[in-house]
Amino acid sequence: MNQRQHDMGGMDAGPIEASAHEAEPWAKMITSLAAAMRDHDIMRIDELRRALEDLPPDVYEQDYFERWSEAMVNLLEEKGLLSRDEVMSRMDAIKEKVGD
Amino acid sequence: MSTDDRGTHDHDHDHDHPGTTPDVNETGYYELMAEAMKELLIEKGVVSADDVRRNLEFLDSRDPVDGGRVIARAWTDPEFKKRLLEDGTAAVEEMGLTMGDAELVVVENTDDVHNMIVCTLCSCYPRTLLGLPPDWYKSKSYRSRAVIEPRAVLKEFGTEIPDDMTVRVHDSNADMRYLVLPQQPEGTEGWPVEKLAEIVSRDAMVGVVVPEAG
Amino acid sequence: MPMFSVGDRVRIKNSHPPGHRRTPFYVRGKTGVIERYCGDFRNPEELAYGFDGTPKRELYRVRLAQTDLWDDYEGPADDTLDLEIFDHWLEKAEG
Repeated sequence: MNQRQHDMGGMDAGPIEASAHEAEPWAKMITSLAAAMRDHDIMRIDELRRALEDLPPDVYEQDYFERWSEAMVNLLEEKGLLSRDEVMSRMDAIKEKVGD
Repeated sequence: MSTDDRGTHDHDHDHDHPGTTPDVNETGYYELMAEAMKELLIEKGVVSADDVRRNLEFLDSRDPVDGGRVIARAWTDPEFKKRLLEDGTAAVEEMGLTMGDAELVVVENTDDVHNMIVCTLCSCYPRTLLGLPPDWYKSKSYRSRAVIEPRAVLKEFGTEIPDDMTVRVHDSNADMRYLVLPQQPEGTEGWPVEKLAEIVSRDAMVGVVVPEAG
Repeated sequence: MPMFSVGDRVRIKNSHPPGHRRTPFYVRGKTGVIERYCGDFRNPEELAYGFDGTPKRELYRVRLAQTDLWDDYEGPADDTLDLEIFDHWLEKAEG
């Protein structure tokens, strides 16, 4: 019976970095997207937490909003609302449109 | 607009399509992902652009000064303070603030007790009162150490609680959200409520520092 | 009528079911005291998988002594850890 990755109380950890960054616009946007879905009871916070907890360890190690994004894609795919493939394709399309 | 015209093979992050799927290590990868998700969900009618905009506006409107005003009122209005400690959710509603689906528990610092809030399992936080949580609150360091060595963590924030005082840590792991009601600092007696609200920092309401008259 | 009263000694079950649980690892099997009854809420363990979380379960704030939780806790014996536990994770403790 192992302590799961998200269940952090008492785990070894280093000093606290007190610096605070304002959340980036994209991070606020996905937060709002999640909130909008919660308003319509389409995606509950409990489901999102569960999706976060179930992320592969290397993904869980990523920054807060990055892993949130990954969990959201997985959960939305699970619900049949979109697929990871679609997201990836759309990312390409947006990137090309912006001319990067 | 066709969204999946690339066939049905796997999209690993490191496969070889020239000029295609952005690399997870590229700057803006998650920016693109967020934008892609939003576009797709709106196109598919899962949410509307209005829904997202409304929620973004609400998020942006949240500020710790709202929490500060609650504290300042509790300092200047003993009956309100009693109500706040008994039923935090109803009390903040009196001030036009909402807790959403959560309930508010306000914990009072006294001469004998210092309170500190954490969410070890994720990042639960009274967002409607304080806005988005700071990075450190969501960090592994805080989430893991706040429960096992709160006094050492407090010291890192410059807060030293003597051994003749009790430190109470609150792990916000279910439907309650927490606000620390700090003690009113010496030298601020008789200050107007607006001025008092200004000296209550977000960090004081999470319980990692105590407010000062400065 | 809530199952537990303020002041009751309770033990948090030392159970390790797979899946989404909101009882942190570090309190499982530990004993504390009911600090307050928070009310009835939908079960997050069910909500996490698309069920509606009903019937609602009773949620309690449980107060534990830090010196009971951690072998080498650095601080006075009075320091506490309070958290929220659902009724199905609690049983009455002796003493």
